[in-house]
Amino acid sequence: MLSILKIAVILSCFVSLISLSILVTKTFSFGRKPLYAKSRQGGIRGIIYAFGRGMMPWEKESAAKHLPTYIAGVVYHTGIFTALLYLFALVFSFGLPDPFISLLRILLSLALLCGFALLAKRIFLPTIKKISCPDDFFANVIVDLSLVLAFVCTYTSSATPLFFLLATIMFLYVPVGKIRHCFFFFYSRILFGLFYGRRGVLPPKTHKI
Amino acid sequence: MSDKSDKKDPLEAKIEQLKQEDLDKVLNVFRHKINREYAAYLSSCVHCGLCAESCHYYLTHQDIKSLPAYKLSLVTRIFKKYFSFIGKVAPRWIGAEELDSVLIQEWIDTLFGRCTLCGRCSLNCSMGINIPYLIRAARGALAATGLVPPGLQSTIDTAVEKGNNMGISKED
Repeated sequence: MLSILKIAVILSCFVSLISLSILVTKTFSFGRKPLYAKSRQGGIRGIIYAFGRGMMPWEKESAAKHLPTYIAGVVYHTGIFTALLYLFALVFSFGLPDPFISLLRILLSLALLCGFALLAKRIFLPTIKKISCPDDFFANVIVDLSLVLAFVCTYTSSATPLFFLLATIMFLYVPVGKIRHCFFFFYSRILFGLFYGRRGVLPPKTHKI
Repeated sequence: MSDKSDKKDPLEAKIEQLKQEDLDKVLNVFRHKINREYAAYLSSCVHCGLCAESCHYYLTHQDIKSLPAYKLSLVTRIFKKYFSFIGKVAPRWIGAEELDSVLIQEWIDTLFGRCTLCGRCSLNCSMGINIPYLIRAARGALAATGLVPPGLQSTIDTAVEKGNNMGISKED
């Protein structure tokens, strides 16, 4: 049974990657916007800024003003990627050292708290609720459940089949709903960096008086 | 009764009389304004709402309709409905919506009336979505069908005709 579920996890991961590739191809089919203006400094500096300093809360008013949400988001996503690594460690039967398991438990429990907090914010904050659709809630719940099961799996192997089953569902859901931002985040940030980098807007210049 | 109908806003009357071919035209122009960058942006919003305070309209009115993510959602609804598979199969699930006269009215009110295309939301977006460009694409689709607020259109017409939006002649 466990072997079948392991294969299901791997297959669903492949299906997810293929579906995301199709989505990218579809996005590319919309064609390219012609650029007429001369580039001021090239886009690379903008891309480096977009993935580096530009992600820091002091560089963005939105993050600075919502620091708890920003931190919750960072912890949540770190926990998700950790849970994914743990999932593949279980699928490929990699033995993990005890100190790593302890660290994993801390990270997963913190991520879970942040996940629930973000879900509560979406449920109870009228502005966020108004811009949310069922997919937003479902994506949050399915990821939170995965974190719960990953956490339980660090204590008992009896939860492993359920963790594999949920991971399979989650992978299949990735291209369907908002979890696709695991890919589109990088795509959008690159475009953001290119756009403002090319115009010489980012990274911001420091002016000496 | 006829007095009342005579005083009716010409744009409102135009919206009421919209036919399917008009809506198709809006969609067609919108489709042609979308390039691969825009398509990526339209698939990226996670509805975090962190963009709220970056919009001066939202800061002034504290109205959900001024929230950049909400303004963007007006555009993504259409993109999801007509240009994504899930939007066709399960529109409500992902917030996709058909283009009709009600949504056209909201596009006009919100996308023309609650955005100056300043780009602050874009700089503050966690994903880096270029919201003003997407709003501009939607505005372009409306303009191609003549669905522009009359006050705004007359300013543009004056600027094109006289060279300035105040209608001041060269002699003056």
